[in-house]
Amino acid sequence: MKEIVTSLSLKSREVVWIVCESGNRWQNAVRHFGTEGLEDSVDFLNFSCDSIDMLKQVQNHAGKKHATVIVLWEITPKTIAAKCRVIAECRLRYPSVIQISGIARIPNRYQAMLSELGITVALKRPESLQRVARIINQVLQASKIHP
Amino acid sequence: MTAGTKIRNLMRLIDSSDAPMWAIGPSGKLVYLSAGVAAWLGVDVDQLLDRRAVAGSPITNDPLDLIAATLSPPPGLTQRGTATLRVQPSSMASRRVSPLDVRFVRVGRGESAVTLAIGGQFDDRAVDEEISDAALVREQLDLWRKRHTAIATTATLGQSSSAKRMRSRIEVACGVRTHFGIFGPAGCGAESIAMKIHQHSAPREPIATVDGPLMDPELLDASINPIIAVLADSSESKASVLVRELDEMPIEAQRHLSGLLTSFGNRLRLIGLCSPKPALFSEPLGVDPENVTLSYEQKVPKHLDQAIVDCVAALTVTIEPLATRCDDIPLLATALVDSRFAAKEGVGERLSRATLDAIVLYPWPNNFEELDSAMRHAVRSATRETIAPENLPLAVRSYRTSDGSKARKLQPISLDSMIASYELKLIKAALEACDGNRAAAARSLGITRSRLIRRVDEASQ
Repeated sequence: MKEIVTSLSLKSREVVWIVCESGNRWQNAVRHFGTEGLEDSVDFLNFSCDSIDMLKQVQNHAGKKHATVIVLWEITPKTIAAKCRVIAECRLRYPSVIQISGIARIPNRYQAMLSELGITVALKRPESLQRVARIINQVLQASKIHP
Repeated sequence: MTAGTKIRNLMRLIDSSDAPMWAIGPSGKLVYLSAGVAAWLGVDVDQLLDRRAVAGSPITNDPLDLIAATLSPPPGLTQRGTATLRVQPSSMASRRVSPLDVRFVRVGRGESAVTLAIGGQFDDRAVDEEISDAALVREQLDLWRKRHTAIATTATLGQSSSAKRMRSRIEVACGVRTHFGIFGPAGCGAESIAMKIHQHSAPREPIATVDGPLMDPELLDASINPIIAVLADSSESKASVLVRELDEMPIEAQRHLSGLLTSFGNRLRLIGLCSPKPALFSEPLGVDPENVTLSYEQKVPKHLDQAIVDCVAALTVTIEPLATRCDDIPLLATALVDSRFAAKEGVGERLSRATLDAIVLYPWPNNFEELDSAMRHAVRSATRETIAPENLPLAVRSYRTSDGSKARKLQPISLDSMIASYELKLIKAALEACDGNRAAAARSLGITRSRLIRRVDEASQ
């Protein structure tokens, strides 16, 4: 969680959530919790794409000066191998991007590996996103008051 | 069927069951075989007793020894304590014995441990995340029930910080008889919590419950008359008054109540249920005590008599809305489903992951009470043990989270004024192109001259 706080842009005016998943479970959660406590003056964008487009989308938004980019990966046993590669690449190319994973049916030993690759927080259930989004938005809010 | 603590009851149950069951003693020999085993194997089970049921143990050519060995548990049972195995005994004579799934359980420790084997359908070898999640929630519930027996109203359940804070405050309130206030949104279960606190902090003390908004001084007197009579009877007697929506109570009734509280001293206790906590309760009270106006977060002015504020501020319990503590919703919902299922209201026993996803995203405007009624509906409408999203009430299952990005970007505009301004822009451009000739400009725009003149006049006004 401390990592999230330190990696947030101190003058963010735009929060971009990019969700990479097969359904819409996590995107619904981002829509619901992502704006909690966020002021209207901060632009909130969220959209879903596949892991191939992900780096392109991250590149588009991470280049902006006042944007905070948060990527949420849905990781299942089927997709873990392919996504680990992209997560690691994203970490190397865009270290300021916050990467969160929504995991399902992943053994604990792989969860530790995900954090080494660049995942800041691993969420098992969508309701856990509320706490994370609240912290992100509180930090953004605080940085706005005390830039 | 008679229930009891004697082993006879269990023996009767096992005898009447047709499930194959057997027990392996500490020495590895078969010490019990049920009638179900005889039916399954097609042999007289008396002949199997005292034969070794240890896999890999030296066996004779006696087919019964072979069968006894196949009834042995799989390797690793000593470490794991339980295991499931498909037992496939060898056939006797011309009779073919079908394989059977058997759950082995090791009972006891060390050399005196006994192994029980029960045949049946067991599908728990593959780990199902939903079921393991349900088991985890059940563990949390059991832990909560164990730790908070005294205050175990379901509304106090939760793992979030606000739920923990709430429970700490309730435990304090249960331990001391004092005025207290519960602050929470509509439907948060405040009254049941208040009654629980009352039962613990002042057992057998009479209590009167009144609806704050409906009160005037005369009606208040009439409503709490029984407890006033108790207080008047003896100088030792005590009583409590619970006021619903205290912050909506007319100021005259509040002043009358504060007068009663003053005249009876600590013998009359006030329990106030209020809407979300005003900031004033946690700030220094440097305000005019004659006429206090509180500013709530919702900017709705509320009126509370200063003496009432002083009483209720003695001990406050705050209940956060469910929408702000989504982490607690699965636990609360599971507890509610448990209680409905235990009351045999339906066959729904647990919530599927998709159902939990739906309920955590719903905003629950009427909080705990709405969740309770939704779970009651779900349990009753479920047709199998897993409650699916379609078993939820329509309002919950059809709820869709709005797209925050679109909502934020959409500014309120007047379509008519936008069109008028664009139209005027085109007219001005046409007039310029036609050197101010209105008829020519109107022709170039495909409208009548009078319409063009009307638009220009409207704009100049």
